[in-house]
Amino acid sequence: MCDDVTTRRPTREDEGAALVMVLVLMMIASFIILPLSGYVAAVGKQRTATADKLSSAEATKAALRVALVEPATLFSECGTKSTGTSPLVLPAPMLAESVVSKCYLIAASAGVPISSLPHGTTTTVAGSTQPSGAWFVGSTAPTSGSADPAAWRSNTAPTKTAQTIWSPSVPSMAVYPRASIPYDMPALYKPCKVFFPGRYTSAVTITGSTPVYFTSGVYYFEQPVTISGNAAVVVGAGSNKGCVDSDQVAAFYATDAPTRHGITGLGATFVFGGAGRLVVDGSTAGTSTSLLFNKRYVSTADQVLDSTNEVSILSVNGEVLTGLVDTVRANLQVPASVLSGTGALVDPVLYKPSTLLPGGPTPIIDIDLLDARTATIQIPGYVAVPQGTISITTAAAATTKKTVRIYGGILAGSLELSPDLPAVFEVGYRNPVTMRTFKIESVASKNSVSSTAIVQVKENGVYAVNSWWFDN
Amino acid sequence: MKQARRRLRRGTADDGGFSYVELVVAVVVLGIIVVPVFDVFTSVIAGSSKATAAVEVDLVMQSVADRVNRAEMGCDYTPYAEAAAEMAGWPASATTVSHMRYAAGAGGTVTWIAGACPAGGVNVTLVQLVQVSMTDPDTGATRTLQVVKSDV
Repeated sequence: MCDDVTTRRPTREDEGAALVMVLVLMMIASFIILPLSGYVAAVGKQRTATADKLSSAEATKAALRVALVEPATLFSECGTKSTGTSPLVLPAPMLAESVVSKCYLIAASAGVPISSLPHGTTTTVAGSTQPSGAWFVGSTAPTSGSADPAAWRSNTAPTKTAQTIWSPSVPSMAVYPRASIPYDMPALYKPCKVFFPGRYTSAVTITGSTPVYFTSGVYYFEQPVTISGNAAVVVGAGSNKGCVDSDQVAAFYATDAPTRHGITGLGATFVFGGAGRLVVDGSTAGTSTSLLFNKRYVSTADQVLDSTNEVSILSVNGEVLTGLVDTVRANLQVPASVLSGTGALVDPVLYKPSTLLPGGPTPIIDIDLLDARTATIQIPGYVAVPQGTISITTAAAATTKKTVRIYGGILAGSLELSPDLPAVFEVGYRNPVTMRTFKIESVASKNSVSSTAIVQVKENGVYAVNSWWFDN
Repeated sequence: MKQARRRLRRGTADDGGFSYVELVVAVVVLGIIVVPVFDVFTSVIAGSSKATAAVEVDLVMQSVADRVNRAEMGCDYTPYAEAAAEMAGWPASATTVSHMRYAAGAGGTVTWIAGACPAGGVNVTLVQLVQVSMTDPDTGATRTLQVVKSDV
């Protein structure tokens, strides 16, 4: 029997039967395994996708928040380095999930229509030379350089009025007396010296390489403010970033900061009375000097301070200390300054009229850039010094690396320029872009999650997120 | 007739079933297939359980993100994360929160320094990085999320 079995087993029909069985079973098993595998993969993938999308969405939100951390910087950087089709890549927010943020400039708008602007440049001294050249921007008052020294007075206005000469009044007294020495920021912060608004009756000299920041507000100086050496000075909060994050940070943390800080609005206004003047002294050893004003913004409802809105430098005018009211010379007539709000003549004890008249040896604004240093002077607000001289001097061999821009309008006794001018030179009134609209796109590295925001940013750093949507 | 009888005899012999060796081979091969199938079953069940736990952590993290995003600017967002954990029936210890704040780096780069607030507390320019880790106390599933907080 056994022999029969063994001899029968290898018959041709039985060969490979086990293989067939296995194949059939494998097919049956695959019907079970494949759907199960699919289910496991789907569940796993779904869980990961949910988790990652949350992370990616937060990363794109973070990108916009970081982009807006310094809106004034965004205003200038994205406003000048991008277009609607060519974006500026913004700094990465440095999170666990990487995200790329791009800024597109969508629109820009000027502060006011050009037709409603006051005259950009006015000189009050009879027969003074009107500015001219490619560097001049804006319109010149027709009375500039007139033989009649009183001619310009017939077309003035205390506020910005179309086709008039803007002659702003002085603000309420900056009452807090200050020493001429700035406050230090503590060691926790980067090196920085801080001034606070108030009344400065001693000369202020800024010459070291430690950056200096004037917090926003009104400063009254009766003695010269001198910028020299390697000074790096920012005046007021705005698109030019100071050495502290904000006015509030300076008020809170400056060592021995005054309890009455006097900070108002954004940007700052320098008011010069007595012998007060602004000097940029290029004769002191140094390699780089900068003085950057940020345009002053205050509420127009503030009757005490509104006259400083968009004004960077003012002089106190008149001769009330001598018993006269107006400054009256053969070639110069300037009405005495009045207080904003009340229109009353200034108290000569608190506000001393400027003694720096045209023709004298000391200009009220004296920018002297004769050596080879790098120098940047930027004054974007109005400069109203109708009984003073603005002098800008550059040597022939020293025009490179020099930037002087006074483009918020000028009312001055006279404007004296050296034959050689800074390489970048702009004087007059340029109708500036005050608000820009950006599209900020942030794309996470994973999961195709992105966010797009339309943001309006003003020059002074105020911003609004108009819309913000996510794709995921 | 002889041929038919031979064919019949042969057919009878072929219907005799599989040999012992064949059966053993089939069982072994089947075993090779069935064992992974059971493994798959096991992993599906375990994976499904893990996925459920992870999804639960994700849901809690979504709640955390929502709470932190909606919270007023402050210097400690731990209570918001703990509240989200407690809503899921988890202890407050299930969450770990760390705080940092923005600081401008060299060349406009972004850096984060320790602490949600500077010494004086919240200020208008503050941008904070809140990192929340959440662990399901039952399954040990853990997720970490970074939320950047500002007044935007």
